[in-house]
Amino acid sequence: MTTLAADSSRPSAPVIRRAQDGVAAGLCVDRVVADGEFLALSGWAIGGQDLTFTVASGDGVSMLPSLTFFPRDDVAAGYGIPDNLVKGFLATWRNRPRGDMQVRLNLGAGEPLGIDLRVPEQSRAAEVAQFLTEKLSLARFLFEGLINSPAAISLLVNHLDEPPAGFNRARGHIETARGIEGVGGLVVGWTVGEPDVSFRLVDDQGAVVSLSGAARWTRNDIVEAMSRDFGDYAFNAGFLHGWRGPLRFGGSVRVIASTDDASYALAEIKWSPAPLDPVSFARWVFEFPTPREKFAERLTKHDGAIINALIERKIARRAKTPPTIQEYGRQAERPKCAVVVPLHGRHDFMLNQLLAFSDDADFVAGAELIYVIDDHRLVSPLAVDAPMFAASFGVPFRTVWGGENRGFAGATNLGVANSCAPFVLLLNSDVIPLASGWLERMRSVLVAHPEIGLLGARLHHPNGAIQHDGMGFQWEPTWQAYLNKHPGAGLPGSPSREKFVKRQAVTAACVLIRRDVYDAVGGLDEKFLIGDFEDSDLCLKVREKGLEIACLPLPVTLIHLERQSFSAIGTSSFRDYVARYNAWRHQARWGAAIAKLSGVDKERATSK
Amino acid sequence: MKVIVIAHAHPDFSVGGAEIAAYNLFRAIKARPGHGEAIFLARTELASQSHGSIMMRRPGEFLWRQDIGDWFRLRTQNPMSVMGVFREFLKTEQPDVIFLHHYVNIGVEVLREIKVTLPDCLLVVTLHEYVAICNRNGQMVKNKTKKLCYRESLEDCSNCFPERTPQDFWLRKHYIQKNFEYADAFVAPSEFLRRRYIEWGIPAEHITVIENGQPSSLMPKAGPPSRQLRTRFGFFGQITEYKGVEILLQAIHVISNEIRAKAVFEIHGANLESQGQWFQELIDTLRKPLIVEGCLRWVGPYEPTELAQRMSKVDWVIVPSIWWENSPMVIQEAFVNGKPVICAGIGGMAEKVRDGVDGLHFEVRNPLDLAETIVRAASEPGLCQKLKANIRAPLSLEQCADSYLALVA
Repeated sequence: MTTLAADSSRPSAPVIRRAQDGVAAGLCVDRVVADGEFLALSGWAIGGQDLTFTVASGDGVSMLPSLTFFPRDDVAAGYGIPDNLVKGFLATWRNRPRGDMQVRLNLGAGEPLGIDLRVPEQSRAAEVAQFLTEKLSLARFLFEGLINSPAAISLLVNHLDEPPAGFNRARGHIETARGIEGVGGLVVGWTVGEPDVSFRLVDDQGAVVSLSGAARWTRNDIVEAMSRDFGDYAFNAGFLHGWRGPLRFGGSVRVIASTDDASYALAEIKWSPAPLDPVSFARWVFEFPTPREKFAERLTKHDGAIINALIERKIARRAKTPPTIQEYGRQAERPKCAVVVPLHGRHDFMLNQLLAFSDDADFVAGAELIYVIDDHRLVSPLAVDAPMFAASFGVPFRTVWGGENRGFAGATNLGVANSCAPFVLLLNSDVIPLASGWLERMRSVLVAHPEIGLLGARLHHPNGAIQHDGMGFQWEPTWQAYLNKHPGAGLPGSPSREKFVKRQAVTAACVLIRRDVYDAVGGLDEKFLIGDFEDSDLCLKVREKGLEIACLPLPVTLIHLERQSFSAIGTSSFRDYVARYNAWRHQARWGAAIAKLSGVDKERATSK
Repeated sequence: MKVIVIAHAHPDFSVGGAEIAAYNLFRAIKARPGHGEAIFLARTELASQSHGSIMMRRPGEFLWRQDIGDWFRLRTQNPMSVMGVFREFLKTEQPDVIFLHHYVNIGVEVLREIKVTLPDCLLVVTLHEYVAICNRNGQMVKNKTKKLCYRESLEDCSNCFPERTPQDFWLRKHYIQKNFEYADAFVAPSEFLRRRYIEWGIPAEHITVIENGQPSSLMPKAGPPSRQLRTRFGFFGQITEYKGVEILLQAIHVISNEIRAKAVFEIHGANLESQGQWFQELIDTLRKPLIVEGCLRWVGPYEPTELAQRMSKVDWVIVPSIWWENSPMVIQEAFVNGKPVICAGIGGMAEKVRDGVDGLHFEVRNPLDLAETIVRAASEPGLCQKLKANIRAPLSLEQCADSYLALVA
């Protein structure tokens, strides 16, 4: 066996076994390159069945490389044997084995050929560079092996050419690469190619992602332009891929196409900044029309975590200054129940609410009414109107302004944090009572039934039909998530009853909770995008504490105008994606619990 | 008993039917011997008076500078004045009864303010037009298409005003009705209007019909039949696109020359010049050839005091309005002056004029039908005298006041 110097550019002399008619078997390792965790051997073999690589200094463990073979016509010519008898090989490890190595070519019945290699700890940079550039045609294999060696990848990519004029197996382009430093980003473009062409994104730092996991969709412009050359392959060309590694503005990202024997850089773009605000970011990324049925998968693989990170980032950066609180009218000294109403988009609902509260003596005397301003545009109008509203209607209230839009959950939490009553009613601004006494009646239920954690109320549409009478969870296959359903909505509803009815969940549009329970579960989850699902999330958290959820089937008392305040937010398509994002997030947290809850309910139903 | 009559305008500055009715009621109660005190409070927009203030106009009469800030919910522009000077005014005057003739230009909040400040004071609200029901100037005529509207609904109203959602209309209705709950009773000058408000939601037992009173002294004695060359038809009122003057002019055009030669039409009215350009041009095109021909006299505006004189010269009064009307004053005035009325057969007009008894109906907005009705009126011997004989004296101011006071007795 032959041993070579570690830093030799040709680590082994060929080991040849001759037969009478020429060469019967041969083995040579002509390169050994180590770079950090990356190790590559290249060489050639004649004859034999398989190659093994054993770490000599360990326990003799075989280390499986990623192994690829390619022609070595030069070797065949040198020995005067047919091309097909010689196999070039490239073995790479992304987490290299340490220690010297024995390479063997097994020859079946015969004695194997073997070479002992001393593996360098770190090859010289020039040597690595030379190795990589010699092996450009094998770049697709090196990408896999070098995934933990960004410097080497970077070097490799920098040596890749644009495709030559005659190359017609693939096309591609990157249209946008935007991200947030420290969070991640998104790369969007298109690729078209034969099925055995693989595509990767590589940035200038050497980070690689394979586009085999990209979210894809069919772009009509690409179909039109490319189907002449690529036929059916022009479909599903659009891609979107999340980028979770570090990114650097001014740095670039490339899309690489690799065939068996060549890799080319198809396009390059510089990173640019994406919106830091989670809603603005979502507005941007939800524009890319990936298939709706795969939206949950897309969020899991690509942009869901980024949106979540941006929401957390925003909450973490909230101003620490205390909210601005204004008192209007003489506040109740020992309020029985806080009523927390977030205001967004418009505040004229207050006119109807306050007018309705004004002739409810219990409400005026015992409620701690808090309007949470959750909209910069409403700060000034409220400052003008609030004193007049309080004087006109004789209903005392407070306004709380946290200095920024926090969404329904954040605004509600802020309002609750600034209340002092032992009970809290969460109330939407577009819920208008038609009669008096309902709040006291709801409160008396919670007082009498400590086993109930959350008490909702039957809500009605303006025409008297049911709008909400408790919620149930329903599996939605196209969303791959449980959604909140309102059973009986739009119908006249069963006759109202004195007693509450147990439900899986209730809406937060009008829900009563004890303050200590609210605090124990941490209030509403503020990390849903814009807002949605906070109510069922709250219900599930309260259930986790072993408490029940119930709904009071009031006669037509509370009118819910529903979703009026959302009209300002944007297109229905964006709203749809926001709902899907929130459903995805809700599902990740509660999917198992809901499945169990539904199972429990099934048992109950069958045991009756 | 102390009574305050509140109106949305003072007849010193404005001559609409509602403010005149309110003022007449005030005067009739005031003139009643041994009745007690009566006060008149009228909203004004006089620039010489400061915003929100209440100032004496003359003993027993006050002006309140006030306006509407939000025509959608009919909210006052100056709520601090409602809670300030108006509340003080109520506390100072301590009336037993308030007759509120219209909340427009004041704000629907005054109903609640009155009852919260003076819980024992009886509040009677007189409804004029359909303002609480209809966001389109209370006319119940569809926006843009101008079709007659038969009922309000959240969806229909939103269709008229697409910038407002059905939920917005629910909020409007809720806000107005909630304030209406503070009234002890409502008065409707016509049964038609009463029905519309019942359909809208006011309980039937809360609305009484009391027609606006008319000065009874004007009722002329029946003179000898006139010996005229031509039958005279008169239009009296504002010339706006809702009063139907263009329908009348179109009707005249389709009447044959032979009949036209036996008739003359007089238009007594103001404000054409403040209408839209298209309407002015339409009227101008229609009237020119008729004036030249001599069958049309374009008389123009008149003072209220001139009305009886002008009306006395005609044989028939025509009321061709293209909207429902409530209780048009011109019909009462025609009857006071003993003139049968030809009117569109809808709404308050159809109620006040009995077809074939003291007047004739024609199909609303139909010039041909109006033309045929005019031809009949001009050519059927004895018809005018017969209808004239059936005219009942309109409710007098004193009778009207009796009815109002009976509500609160």
